[in-house]
Amino acid sequence: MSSITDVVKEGLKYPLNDGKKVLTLGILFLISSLVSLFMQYTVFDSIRVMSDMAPLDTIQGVISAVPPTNMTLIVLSWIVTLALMLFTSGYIYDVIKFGIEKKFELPEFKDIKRIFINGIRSFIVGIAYSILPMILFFLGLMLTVNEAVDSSVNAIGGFIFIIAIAFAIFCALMEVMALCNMVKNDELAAAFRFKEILALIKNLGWGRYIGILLFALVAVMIVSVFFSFIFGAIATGISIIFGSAFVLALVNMILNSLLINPYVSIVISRVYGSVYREAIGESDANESIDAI
Amino acid sequence: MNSVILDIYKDSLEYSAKDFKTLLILGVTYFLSFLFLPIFLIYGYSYRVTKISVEGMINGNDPLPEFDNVIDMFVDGIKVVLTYLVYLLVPFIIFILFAIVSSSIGGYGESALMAIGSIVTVVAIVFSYIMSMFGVANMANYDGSLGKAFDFKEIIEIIKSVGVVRSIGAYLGLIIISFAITAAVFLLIFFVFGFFGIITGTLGFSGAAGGIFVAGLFISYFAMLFVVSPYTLILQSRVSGLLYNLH
Repeated sequence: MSSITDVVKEGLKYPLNDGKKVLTLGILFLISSLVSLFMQYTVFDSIRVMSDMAPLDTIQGVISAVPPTNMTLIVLSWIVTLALMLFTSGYIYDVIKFGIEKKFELPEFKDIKRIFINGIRSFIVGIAYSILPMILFFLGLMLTVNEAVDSSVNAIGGFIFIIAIAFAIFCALMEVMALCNMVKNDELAAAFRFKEILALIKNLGWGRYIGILLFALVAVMIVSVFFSFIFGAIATGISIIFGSAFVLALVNMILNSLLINPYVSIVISRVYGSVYREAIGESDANESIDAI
Repeated sequence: MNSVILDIYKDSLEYSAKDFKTLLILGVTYFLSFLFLPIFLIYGYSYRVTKISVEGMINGNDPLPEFDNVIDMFVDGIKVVLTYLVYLLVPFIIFILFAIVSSSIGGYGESALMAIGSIVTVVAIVFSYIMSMFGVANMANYDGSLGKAFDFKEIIEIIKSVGVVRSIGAYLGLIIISFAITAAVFLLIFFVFGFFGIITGTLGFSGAAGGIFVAGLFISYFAMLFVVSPYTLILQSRVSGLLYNLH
């Protein structure tokens, strides 16, 4: 059995096989970051305009008070950001697939419609696996900090809160396997075959599963902290030349989203794929032994 | 019996001094360790030294490891650091427990208990240090399997096979040697520059004297960083690997 860390080593090296694709993904991240950054300024002005005006009672009134051109720009920026994020999710979908198939190269950016649809699927899975934990989380939170209720209810709230956190972790672990299951079977329904997913994790072993994911997370965190130091230093240097704090934020964001974010995303997805491959691979081995 | 340990020391002292360039590269990495990631590269390299030593032998003409495959070195470094941290957890918990209990007692009992607790903690540190070194060597023996670093049964068997007293003695001696080397280099540079400082001071260049003195301090610090620390690192890793092989 290969060491826990072999999967992570391979994952860390994988994006380096094709830097151009990583950069392309980075450009996608960059564009959406730039869009949101610049929209913040427009939105800020709109909100200031709104607050300057007389208090308005209805939502109709508020929206009609906002200069129309800005509103459409804001909505447009939301649409652009969402579209880009869905597209990158679709690319990550492919990275997971290549991970499951243990392909050496990175996925192409061809067939945009397919990538986009895959992105929507991943998005749905993500939301589905977040709803319940989030409900529990907010329930627990509200009951805990609530001052209008009896203290015993606060205690119950605290209890629910802790359970919510544990449940959220469990759902996150399930979601990873669910995503991979969907990728492998190429159908959205596969992400919700809970029995199958649980069996896969059990096959791999919960300890090994959590161990690989945790180790990958630690490794990736160390790498991103390191590069954020370096990029921060570069951004500070450049911003000193220009004498603007905005430039610092801008350069920092550019370097990060262009280089680190895509790298980290690809590494993690690759690890997901490799983990899934191992989870099904071992069941294949068992099947062949039974056949004999 | 002890002559084997002396052979290990001799081999390791020569081994660590084999290539000055290696020490410099490690030194630069030490210098960059405020960036957090280089720390793991350092321990990844020490892991490679241990691995070569475990697979090699005393006076076996083993080469110093290369600096290639940086990612592998990084991940191995994480494993080594993780091992050290986990083994360090035990003395840490012991100390915290003693602290909590003794602070709730208060008065004379508190000081007495903390005194006992400190001694117990130090003993625990020594044992966990030895266990962790053998743990890393065990991991190196089993091709980097993190589980093997915590196979307590096997590690204790190996330590018994090498000899508990021998192991403790070897590591205590190692610590003394490392300390002696560090102190010697530091004092040497310190006194050389201090000497020049005094001479220029008595010759009437008081500003220059102070400057040379401070420069001496700086240079000794960097010498420590760039050369002595890497040296003791490789020394320690080699000894732990060769000692492991005695089982």
